[in-house]
Amino acid sequence: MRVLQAHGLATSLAVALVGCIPMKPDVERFETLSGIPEVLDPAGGVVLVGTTPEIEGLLRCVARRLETNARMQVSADGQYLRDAAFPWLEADVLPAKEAGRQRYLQDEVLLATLRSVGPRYVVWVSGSQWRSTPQAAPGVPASFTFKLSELKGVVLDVAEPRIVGDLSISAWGDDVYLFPYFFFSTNTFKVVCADFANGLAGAFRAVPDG
Amino acid sequence: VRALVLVPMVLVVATGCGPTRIPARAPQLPAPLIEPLPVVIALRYAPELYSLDPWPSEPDRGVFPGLGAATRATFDQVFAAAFQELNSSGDPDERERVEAPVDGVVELRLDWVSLDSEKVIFLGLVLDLRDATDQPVSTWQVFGRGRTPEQALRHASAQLLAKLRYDPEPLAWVGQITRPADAEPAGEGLLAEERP
Repeated sequence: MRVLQAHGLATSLAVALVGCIPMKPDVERFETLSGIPEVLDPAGGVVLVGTTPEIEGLLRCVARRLETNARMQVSADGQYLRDAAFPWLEADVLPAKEAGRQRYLQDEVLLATLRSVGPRYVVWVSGSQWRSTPQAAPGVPASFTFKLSELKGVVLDVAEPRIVGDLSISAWGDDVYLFPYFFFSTNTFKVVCADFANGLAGAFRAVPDG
Repeated sequence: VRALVLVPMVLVVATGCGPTRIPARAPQLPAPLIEPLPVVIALRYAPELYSLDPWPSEPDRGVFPGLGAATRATFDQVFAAAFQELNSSGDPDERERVEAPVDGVVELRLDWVSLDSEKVIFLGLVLDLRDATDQPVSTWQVFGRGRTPEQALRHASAQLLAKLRYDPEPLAWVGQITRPADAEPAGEGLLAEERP
């Protein structure tokens, strides 16, 4: 029982210490979009299509930021598009290499389908998030880290057709969880969301006569 | 203090007991946006896709009742869209009843299922494609992942359809056996020889 008590006390101490660590949001990264003066309005709209269920929440965050801060018409609900174009917008199907992407741009059946049901731009977003295996040591609460991998985004202009953006947002981050008592999260998720939204806005600003 | 320590520990142990049961159903796949390959195929499913129920996961975190039937129902849709014609049901008991000659045989097996600590399901499927003389054409591994078995099966289906469309091996094989419309139909193949 002494061991248990020691374990509990050590945990409580660790929890208390962690709770005292001030979170320092990266305000500059969060607020970059607020400084965009012009309204980005790609005619025909933008749909974000994620490659894994794990990043659906992140895409909603990106869409919300672009709508709020850059006043873009962006939807993170790409399910109808994926159904219409099955299997070509499913996870891991979009080719990573340029030669493979050209196949998409030359596939008239796929393009006609996207034009008939979809927006002007499709942003294909890949990446993943996971948590590391919990690690425990005597007297120390188990903890594990939350990581969000590098995100990549390919912006397809369905109308032209052409690839108008190729984003890669390095977004490795560790959020430390203490298990099982509670967890605290650093701002990895929000930083990644802000960075990706900024990158996407920049890609659309660079599109000539988008 | 003891209660504060023991109660969470008991809860953790209790919630960690036993594998999670995750019933599987086949997803209703959208009509694929592909041209079927112009070949006649006999479809086979590995026997355990009929006999094993529920499927255990690796590591032993979950079991999947109905996964074999869901996999068969999913890939019935996939292969019906991928090939011009299927001439068998895939059921091992039905094999000897196949009468029409075929251009090739596709056998699908579910190699493993895993459930990670984040409850993401991974499926490992293996597909063997053989020609009518039982010569191997291609063997592929296809992975599927998702929060539900339906998502994982849809993911694996998409991988397979894309491979069949763009992988050079099956395309070369199809190119070899595709004959002009006025040529003779597919010859006496493997299944024809198997007939009693």
